[in-house]
Amino acid sequence: MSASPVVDTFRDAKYTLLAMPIIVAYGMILLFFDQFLFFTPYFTLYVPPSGVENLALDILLTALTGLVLTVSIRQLVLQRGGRGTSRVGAVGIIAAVIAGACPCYYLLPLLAVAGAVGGALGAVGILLNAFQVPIKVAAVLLLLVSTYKLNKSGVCKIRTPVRNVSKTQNL
Amino acid sequence: MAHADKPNRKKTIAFGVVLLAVMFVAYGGWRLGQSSSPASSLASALLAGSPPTLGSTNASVTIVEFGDYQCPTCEGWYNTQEAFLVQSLVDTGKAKLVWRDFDFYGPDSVLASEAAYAAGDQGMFWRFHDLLFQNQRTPNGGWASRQNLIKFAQQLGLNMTEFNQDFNGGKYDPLIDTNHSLGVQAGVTQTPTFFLVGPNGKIVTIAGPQPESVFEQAVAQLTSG
Repeated sequence: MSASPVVDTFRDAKYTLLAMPIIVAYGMILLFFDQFLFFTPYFTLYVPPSGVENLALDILLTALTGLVLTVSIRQLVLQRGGRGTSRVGAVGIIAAVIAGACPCYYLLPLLAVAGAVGGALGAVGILLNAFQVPIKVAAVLLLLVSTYKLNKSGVCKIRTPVRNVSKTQNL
Repeated sequence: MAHADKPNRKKTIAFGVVLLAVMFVAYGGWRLGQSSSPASSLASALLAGSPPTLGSTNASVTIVEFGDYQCPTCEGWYNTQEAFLVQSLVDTGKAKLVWRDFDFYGPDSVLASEAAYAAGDQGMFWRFHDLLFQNQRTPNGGWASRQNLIKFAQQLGLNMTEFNQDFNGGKYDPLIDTNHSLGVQAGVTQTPTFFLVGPNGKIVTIAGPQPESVFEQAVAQLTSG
């Protein structure tokens, strides 16, 4: 067992298996909302030349979300089993959900088109759509910080008690 | 410990399998519901009137595009796919391309639509359509202001007295409203959205900026019966 929860998580086959559907589902949702993946009329994956930057961010976001969620779930399972006291697992899940929710702003222009929301919310969506790259970069940074925190959470710090050395020497 | 892990592993595997199955079923259901609709009144509504059309009137498939001149995705599709589509399907007489507005980005979208129709009354709709997408900038950033649209018309050498009269008179407002209502009725939730109407009234919907190869496949599907 290494001191890194990230490494330990993916050494365990069941967590590697758990990461797969998370990555597949999240990746498909992200690629769909970014209009790289189409389900109708035929299953099509298409990346226009101008979309390479966005695709790279999508792949990074997907991989990090899969990693953070899986490691967080493991931390929570260990915590429940009394093998750890870290709250980082729950924090990691919250971070992954927040980062994962970032792309949901794509839904706003869609709702505006459907006439389901007022003009103001639609306008916010259109504005956010213009900032999709910075928002995704922020989501990646959040996930990177979460990964770092999760990885650190497995290191048990042993605090050396302060002793009065001079007294001992006198004895 | 190994014994305790076994039920957990089984649970995880079962969870993964169930999740994948749910995704698969959802995808299948969605495809069945959206891919190809039977002949309907929607087909006649999509073909009604005399919208701007590119290509032969005898083409067996009509591709109806719902778009907004301020929509960056429409511009992206125009710049990467439209020329290929025109070359492979329109120029060969397999399909014709019809434009219908679905203006939702703001008032400048409506102005751009009005200007394109005013140019169309002088036989320059598609030239103006091209010019709009070639000059597209940030939505509502002023690139499609009234003054700029007049400049585009001058650039094309249009009769400006006639253009200004048509453009400023609100002549095309009912048409733009009708197109928007038609889009809502047809289920447009994003732009660009394309409805391919086949010879027997069957419709294939292509939502989003999909590659030209998808259109070729859909046209082949519609013409093969």
